Amino acid sequence: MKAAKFKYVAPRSLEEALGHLGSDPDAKVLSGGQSLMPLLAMRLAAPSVLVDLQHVPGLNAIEDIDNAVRIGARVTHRAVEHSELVARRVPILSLAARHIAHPQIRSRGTFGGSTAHADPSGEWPTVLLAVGATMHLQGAAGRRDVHADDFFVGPFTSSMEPAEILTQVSVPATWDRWSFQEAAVKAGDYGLALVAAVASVENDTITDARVSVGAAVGSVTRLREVEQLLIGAAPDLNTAERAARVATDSVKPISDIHGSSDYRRNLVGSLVKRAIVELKNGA
Amino acid sequence: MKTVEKHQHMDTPEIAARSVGARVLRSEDPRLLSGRGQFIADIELPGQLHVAFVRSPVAHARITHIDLSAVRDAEGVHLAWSGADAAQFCEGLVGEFAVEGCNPTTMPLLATDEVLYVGEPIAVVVAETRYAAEDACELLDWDFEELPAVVNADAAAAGVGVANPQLPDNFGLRGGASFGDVAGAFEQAHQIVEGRFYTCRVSAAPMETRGVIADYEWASKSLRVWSNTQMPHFLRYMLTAYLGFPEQNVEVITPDTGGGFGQKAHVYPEEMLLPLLAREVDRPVKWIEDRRENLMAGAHAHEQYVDIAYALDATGKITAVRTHALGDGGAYHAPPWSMAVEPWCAVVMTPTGLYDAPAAEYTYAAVATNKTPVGAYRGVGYMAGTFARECLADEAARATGMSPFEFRRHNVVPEFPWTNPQGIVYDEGSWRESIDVLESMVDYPAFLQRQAELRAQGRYIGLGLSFFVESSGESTAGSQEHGLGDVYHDTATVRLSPNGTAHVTIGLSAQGQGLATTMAQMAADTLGVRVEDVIVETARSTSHAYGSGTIGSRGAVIAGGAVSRAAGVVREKIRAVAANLLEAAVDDVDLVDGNASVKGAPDTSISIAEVATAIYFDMSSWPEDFDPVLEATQAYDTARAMFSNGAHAMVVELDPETGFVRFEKVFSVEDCGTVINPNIVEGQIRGGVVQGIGASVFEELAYDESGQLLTTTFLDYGIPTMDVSPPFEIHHIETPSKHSASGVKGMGESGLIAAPAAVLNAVNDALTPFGVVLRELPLSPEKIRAAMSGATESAAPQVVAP
Amino acid sequence: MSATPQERLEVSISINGRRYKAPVEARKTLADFIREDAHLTGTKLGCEHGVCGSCTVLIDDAPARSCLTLAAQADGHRVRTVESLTEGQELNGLQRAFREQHGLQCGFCTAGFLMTATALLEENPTPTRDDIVETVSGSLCRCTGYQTIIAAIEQAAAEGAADTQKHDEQEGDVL
Repeated sequence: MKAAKFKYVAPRSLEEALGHLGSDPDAKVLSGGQSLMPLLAMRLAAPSVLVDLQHVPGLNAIEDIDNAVRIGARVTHRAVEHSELVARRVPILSLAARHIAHPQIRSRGTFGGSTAHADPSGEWPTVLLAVGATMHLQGAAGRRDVHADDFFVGPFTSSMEPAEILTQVSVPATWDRWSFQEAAVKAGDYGLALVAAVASVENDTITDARVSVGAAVGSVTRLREVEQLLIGAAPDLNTAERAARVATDSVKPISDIHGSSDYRRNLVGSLVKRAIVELKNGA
Repeated sequence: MKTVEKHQHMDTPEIAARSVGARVLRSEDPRLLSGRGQFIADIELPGQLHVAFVRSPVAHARITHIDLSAVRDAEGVHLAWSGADAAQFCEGLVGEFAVEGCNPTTMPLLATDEVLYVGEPIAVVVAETRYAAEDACELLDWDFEELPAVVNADAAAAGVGVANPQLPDNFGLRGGASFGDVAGAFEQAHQIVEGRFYTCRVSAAPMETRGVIADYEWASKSLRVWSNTQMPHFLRYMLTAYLGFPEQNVEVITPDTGGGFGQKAHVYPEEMLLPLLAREVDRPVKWIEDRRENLMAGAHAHEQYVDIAYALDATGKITAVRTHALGDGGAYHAPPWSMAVEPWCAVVMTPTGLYDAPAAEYTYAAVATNKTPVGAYRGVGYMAGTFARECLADEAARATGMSPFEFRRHNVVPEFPWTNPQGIVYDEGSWRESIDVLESMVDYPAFLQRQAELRAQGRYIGLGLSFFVESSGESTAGSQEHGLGDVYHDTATVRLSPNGTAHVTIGLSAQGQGLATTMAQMAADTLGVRVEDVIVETARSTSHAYGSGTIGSRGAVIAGGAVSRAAGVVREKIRAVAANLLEAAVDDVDLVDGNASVKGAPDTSISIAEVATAIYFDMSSWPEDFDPVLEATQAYDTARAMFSNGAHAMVVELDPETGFVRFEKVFSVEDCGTVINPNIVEGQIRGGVVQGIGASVFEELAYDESGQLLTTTFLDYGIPTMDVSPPFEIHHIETPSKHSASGVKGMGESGLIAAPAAVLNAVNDALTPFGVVLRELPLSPEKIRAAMSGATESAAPQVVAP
Repeated sequence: MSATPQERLEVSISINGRRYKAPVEARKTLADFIREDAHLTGTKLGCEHGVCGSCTVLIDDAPARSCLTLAAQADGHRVRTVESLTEGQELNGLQRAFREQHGLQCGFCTAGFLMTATALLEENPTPTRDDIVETVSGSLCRCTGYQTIIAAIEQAAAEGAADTQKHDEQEGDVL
């Protein structure tokens, strides 16, 4: 199980990296490599050039900015997991990080790499969609920002152009309540279903909410019917149960050897219920 | 009963245990812990080339065109072969099983006309590096015409399609036998309990995949083959029988091996091809299987249906048992075990277990399918048979209103020796005692109370039992007892050095069982030396001692017997010279803790080192007519079939929302006779049971309807991890065998043999409030959740009034 | 100055305090570099797709799958393998605990467990059982059933056995 041939380059600047991507349509960014390397080993991916971002400056910071935490693309899952700033301002990321594979993967895998990979089973895509994060992209022509709603467009597909690089992600810190739920058979397995939920709550009433589902679906998806139900409701057990029913009815799950769509449909309902119960508790 | 004639190589010296029974730390460990183990992938021969295979991406197809020219022209490639090239040297490996009703198959080394399963090798490439070999594999130009795939055992048995043209009706094996008045017992039964149980297809998945290195030296016509096989001597024989390499010039070397569990107890096409390739390119060639290959082309295991029925009398006693096993054998018989080994073992070896069933009837069948050949995996056949029997015992307990302990106590064999309806004789065992011990270990009344309390809170725990009788120390007698004619015997060589330390070689290769340590314990007690003064080499080379293979829980019994007999010969040499030096009678000389001393006169002693030195260097120490060779090679086989026994109880909790099974605790009772080293026995139990948990809940080699294998990575084929593996409480009972050295019995397979029944029984116990009984593995989250949500049609125990 | 993508390149990696320099193909994994170029074969390959954990090494003191890292990516970084653990010619406390608790059978996965546990104990010398399970569950073992591995790490922690010797780099050992 050995990768096919490719070329490798480790540029020292973003401009240089963009140059490599721009000059070869089959060039691909290498960040932590934890998702890419198995695909290379199994020869399911065959890029011509890997552009390693490890020496590109400016991609390694976790910063507190207005109403958001901005996380550099090269920040590892482990760094997110252990960041005091993240735990304080956007705790859903700390919760989700612990579900990402294993410590040996989290030490190498990066926030930006997983986000750009847009794996429907990925913790970051699910969470970033729920919180309504903004992806900061750099292309040869300049920077652009893409909201999560417009970023994750399909399984393993984002709205990034081939010659663009994800540089940072801004995670809004404005939500009052956060919950992340994952059902995985064993620690570190790909989840059978992931649910991320965030809400703003005033006077025991949900004023705004976003809920997303991953793994059980073809690509990470917002559960808009659930969100509509939540807004204006009290974050209580009754709401949670109603939300679970709506989620069960509205989600469009996949089937595979690890679980049928019926199983996943019910599982999503259960996780939505757990998530809303947790929102009630103010996690 | 069928008795093997008693031969002298079946007697072992009687020795008082000193280090036997102690928790001796393993001599293997310092090397393995410091990265100094040498596994096959770690071996680099000067000039070695690397091998990769092109494997079939489809289940069943006719090869219409194959052209290797692009492969051969690729950078770094030295040689590439397709099936036709390999067939010039070997038509294939014949697989069959020596019982009536077996139809043999011939498995080509590389597919020629048809490919019969996903992963079947169709071409092989030899190149400078593994990277280059895989590059070249991608350039193979070939076409095929897909044929209908047979992927279901029932369909194959019904003759829907042909999986392998060599087996036109798909049957690789069919047969059966009846003992006692089975029909009468079922006619007169007060009730009949029955069920169809399914054990899913799994892989042994040792952490180290398979690997072969071959080096041929033409000037002396000598072939050296490194293989992490469990049967080096058999591989050597096959290399001679099939390829014509002169046996005296063939050496098979087994390096440190990263687990085998039966998967490495086959002879595979890859092992046959590498020597041919080495001869052809005149360079050493090396193939290290990758994980995807291992999951596709390493022997698969377990897949079969077992239909089992008990006739019960009014008191709940079993009056007869009927079993039928249908194995899903894959595309070929995997030599040497064949597709017979699962269903045949399941029904011949296990139906009565520890129960006093007076009549038994069985039928067995194995059908070919377009899947990877099924072979041996730790307790082959025993697992499915024990699974069906023990799960049915729990169902019978429910049907008769008895507790699962009570039902078993009611039916357990009352005394030994016991002859089962087939005529298999069980000399001794702690069958009844194991039921009592397990019941007290789990504190059954307390469990029932906790279960009721938790149920009231909406939590569902269950307790499952599984009792086993394990044929151990695979031997000529054991083979005959089960109706086969295999002959087994192994040798060991023991040599005492002038400083009184011992060097031991055995004929069995080791895959992690700690044989170097346990055999040192056996030798140390016989020689009277300290265990740290014994060095043991497991079968690192076929140039040393002979062995029939590390299979069938035979290592401790068979190698132990051979070591004990060879050490016994050396022991008598030491005693003779010590007696001479101490001016005592030979019979009065004891060898203990490194000293030869005179019984009743403990001060009259001499160190064994001094005796050994004298034998080598001082002729005046010798008694008359003394032959100074301090080395002996002896063979061993057991005089009788022998059986270990024991049980596992498992406590699980089911999550109604996810359907996940949480394993709370395992209680194990093991009686393998005299325990050589409790650490190692307990390690075998834990490891085997967790494999059983894997085979019950987490693992399945899944195929789609076209015969495509869907689980070719560890992401999709999930073996148990630390977070899902339970703690253990283990209790030893020791009922020694009278026929083995020190009374030891084999036990390496019982964990996997018995654990799945405990898992299913525990799950079904937890499911009681839902009125659902499951009988098919794996117990996936989906099945459990469906059972708990009322979505599963109630399959309450099938109780049929006759 | 802009670098050019290369199919072969020279890497320089510090492994167990020694610097190994060698030309490699860009596609070569760190695991293959450690085993084939540095000839340190204690690091094992069990799956080559990042699940089994047998190839775990420490890269800049953090546990990582060496099959999921290119040798090129490790250029200029510090790597520790199982061969670094022994204290002179003695097993260190963690290795001793594995032996005493029978935390290994075939020994193939063991290096991965040892390296993961080493990183855990360096970061958290007094882990709870849950910490151990959480951290070490990313390594697969087919022989032991895991309980004795947990016990070994607990014993090593209780004895304060963390190998905190992080080797200083020695220059001059060129491959």
